[in-house]
Amino acid sequence: MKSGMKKLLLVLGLLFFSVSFGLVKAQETPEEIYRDQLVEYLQAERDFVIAKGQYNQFGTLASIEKAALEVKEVMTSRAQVLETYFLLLKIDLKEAQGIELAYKDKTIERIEAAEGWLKAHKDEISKTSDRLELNDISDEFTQQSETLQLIGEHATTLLTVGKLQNTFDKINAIQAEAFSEAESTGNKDFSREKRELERVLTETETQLKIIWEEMRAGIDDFRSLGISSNLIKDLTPTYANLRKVLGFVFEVAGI
Amino acid sequence: MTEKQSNPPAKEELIDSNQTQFSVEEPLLEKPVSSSMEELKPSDSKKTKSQEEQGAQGVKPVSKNKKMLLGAGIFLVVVLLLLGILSIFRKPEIQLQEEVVEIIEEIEQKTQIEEKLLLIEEDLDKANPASQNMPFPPIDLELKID
Repeated sequence: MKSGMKKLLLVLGLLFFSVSFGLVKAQETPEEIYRDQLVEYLQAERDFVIAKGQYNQFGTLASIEKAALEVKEVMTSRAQVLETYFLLLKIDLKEAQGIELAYKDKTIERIEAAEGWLKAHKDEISKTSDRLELNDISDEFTQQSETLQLIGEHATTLLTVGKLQNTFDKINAIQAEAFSEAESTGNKDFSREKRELERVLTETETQLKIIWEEMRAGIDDFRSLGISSNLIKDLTPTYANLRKVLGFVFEVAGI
Repeated sequence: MTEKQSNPPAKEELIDSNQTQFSVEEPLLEKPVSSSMEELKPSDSKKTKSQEEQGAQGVKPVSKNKKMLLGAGIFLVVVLLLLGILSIFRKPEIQLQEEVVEIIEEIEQKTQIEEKLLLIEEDLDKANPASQNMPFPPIDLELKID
């Protein structure tokens, strides 16, 4: 009787933990899922490299089959990682502020096209285990990879510029509030500070306008992405100006 | 050797019958003074010490309570005096309330602006082009079995 009770308690305990673990796992965020999938992909890639090495070394039927299975595995994993990556970009874009709706919609459209292509690609991989067929499918991916990279790059650039624009808009709105408050509490004349702040705001606004012009070119034909791939170099001056302006507003607010 | 010299003296003969000499009196040079102090047994010294302590303990609670009461009394007097002085110089209540409300509003407004600015600063940190967190994944674009 006692041993029966113990067994029952053990089973119930195991059941409880497995359900809890399952619930925790089910609550993973998309970012966590993406990270896990990336780890799985990297492991699959390592396994493929080993299998490919063995195939190249031995050339046996067994090594060919093993290599084919590993390449199928890693190609599937790669497609899955990209699907999740584009999903995350889409979620960020939908929530982002500071981006014109037309730009947003166009970029989301392109992301969804990429997602569709990847889904079809995965389906093709699942249908075959033949080495040559898998090589052909892999070639198709290689041809499409440049487009996929451009879509990703464009989306991340759009998100970054949107964040800078959003921050500029907020600083522009609050600087008036800060001056109004400072003037009402003290007898100090803030005209010099206002002029200085206006100068930097105007310069930042001009920089953002130029960036948006370049982005517009990229929206119409994303292959000719206006902003260079050296994103940091192009957007850093704008970012630095925003830092300066925000610092001025902190000073005026007496913080 | 005579009989008298060979036999030790009897007990009665050892007892000093000199009535003028006190029993505790001792010749000065025969024994040093410190040794006489050392002769006091440890139990005796402890006994005297403990007796003192007991005595002290017996006295301590009483003086401690008195001091506390005295301290509390002085404190109350000081507080009452301060209240009295403050009441003389106190502003009219309505004016005081208005000033307090103004100060609170000013603090709240300042706090609101500060909160907004801090949130904007957080947004600006996320907008740093040097720290973008969604780069293209590090995948092999050419997986093939040659």
